[in-house]
Amino acid sequence: MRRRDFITRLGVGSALTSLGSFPYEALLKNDMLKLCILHTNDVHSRIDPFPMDGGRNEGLGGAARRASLINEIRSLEDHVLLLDSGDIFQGTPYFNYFSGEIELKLMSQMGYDAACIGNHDFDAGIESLRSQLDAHANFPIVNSNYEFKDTPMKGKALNYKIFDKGDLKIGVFGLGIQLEGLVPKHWYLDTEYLDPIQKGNETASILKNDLKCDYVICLSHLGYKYRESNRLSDIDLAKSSKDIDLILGGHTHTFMRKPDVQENAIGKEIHIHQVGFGGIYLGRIDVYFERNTKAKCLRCNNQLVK
Amino acid sequence: MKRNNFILSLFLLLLFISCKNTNHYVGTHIHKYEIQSTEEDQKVESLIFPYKVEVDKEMNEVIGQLEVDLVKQSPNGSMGYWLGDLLLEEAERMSGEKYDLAIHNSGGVRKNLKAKGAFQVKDAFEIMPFDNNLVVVDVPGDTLQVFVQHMANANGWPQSKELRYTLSDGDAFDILIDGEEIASDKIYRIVMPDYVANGGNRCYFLLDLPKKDFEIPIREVIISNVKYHTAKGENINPIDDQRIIVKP
Repeated sequence: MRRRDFITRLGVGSALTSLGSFPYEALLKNDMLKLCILHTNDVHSRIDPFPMDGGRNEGLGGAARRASLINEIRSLEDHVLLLDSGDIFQGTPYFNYFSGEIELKLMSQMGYDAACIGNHDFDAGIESLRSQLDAHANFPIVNSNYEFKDTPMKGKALNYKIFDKGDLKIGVFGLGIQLEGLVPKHWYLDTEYLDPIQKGNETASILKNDLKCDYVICLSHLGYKYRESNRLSDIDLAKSSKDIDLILGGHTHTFMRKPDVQENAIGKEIHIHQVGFGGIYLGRIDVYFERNTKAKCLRCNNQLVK
Repeated sequence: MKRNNFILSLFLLLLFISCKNTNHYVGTHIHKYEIQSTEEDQKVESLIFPYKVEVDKEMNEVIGQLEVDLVKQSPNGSMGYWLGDLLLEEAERMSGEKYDLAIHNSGGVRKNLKAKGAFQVKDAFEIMPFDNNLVVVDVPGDTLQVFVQHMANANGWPQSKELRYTLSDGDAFDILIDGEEIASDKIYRIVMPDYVANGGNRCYFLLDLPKKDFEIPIREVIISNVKYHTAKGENINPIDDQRIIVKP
């Protein structure tokens, strides 16, 4: 009873995609699996809630509140993944004073499982990024399209990270935005930017087809969509992909009411989600799976919902 | 025979294991939590505390008074007017030289609204968190033409009052600098963030131009300008002159 109260109290925006009515009762029979994905993006060093200064976000956000919310969800859910889509740094004096130390300590304390790199994470320079991560982050950084071999970040970013959650195998990888023209060269040095569409789909295929992941998540800092057709976005990535199930995005600070459902290159659905910026929202995506005990999936309903 | 059976069952077992790991995706359920009324986690609070004490000491100092709200708006807004004019004023004050105008990229201004009243050090950090330096670039007239068009394309940037133009559907017309048309052979001295001068926001056309770095972050320029006016007994009150004319 308490459990239901809690969920009702906290569930501000709640939407069901893919299925008209969900067979929750089936979960009780233990032949379904559930993964609870929590996510943030573009938190931008927002440690304290937004100041009470008449701005539209005043009083919202705050790391200590986010932490208690995450703790409560963890106490109710067996399989939680907590992820961030980059631009952890820059935006409040905490970053100017301490170069990201407190942001990374807090994320480690909250139990983040992985994060990707945003353009502003280079804002104290790539050397500082490396030393801050080494000293204060206990979670991995994933990136598949920055070649760091000639930089201080060499060997720091993982191509992907696999999480075993009960009987589920979840693959997580990351993509970063083009740095040229966005970040001063002396901050990212010899970081080479590789095509995110190509590298992203390569990595997703390894995770899905070679390593047999049940679900593949891309942490992207490419941006949700752009007016200019020559700027790569999450939508371009989604449409080109075969093996990505979910894109958790960032960079464009897009407040999405619910995930955008796109059709991928082979006509299957792929979700894109992003939760604004500044830690105002914590996104939550519960994914349900049928245990692979039968030859055929009884509840699968992979129709595209528009 | 037995051995063959063993190999066969081993093979079947391996086959089973290798495809076992794919459960069937069924559906997705979404929530979004607004972080507002949840209680604070004490562990996290105490982790933040010592950092907060150190930062707040400096941040809470009131250095000026705002007579109007600072509103970030494109193409015309009080935030952009204020910032553009103060960058030019401070650059000239620091160097004792005259410059033609000042501009700042829109994306570099990180606060949409600062309500009138007390102006604290932390407001300067909120508006301008980046450690970009103030520079002055020598821009030839024909490049300035391209530059203004680039700004118009982004629906106008924060700029000082010397620049005026008509904006229509992302294009700039009737461009005037201090009331005069741009002379293609003249060199204009333009104050801006080093981020833009170094090709940021795709301003590649500025990359190879001569520039002078004041070696002071723009945030410090803002703080110093607010203090300067406060010391003279003046409040912050941006000139609202609709410097970009919008035609549909």
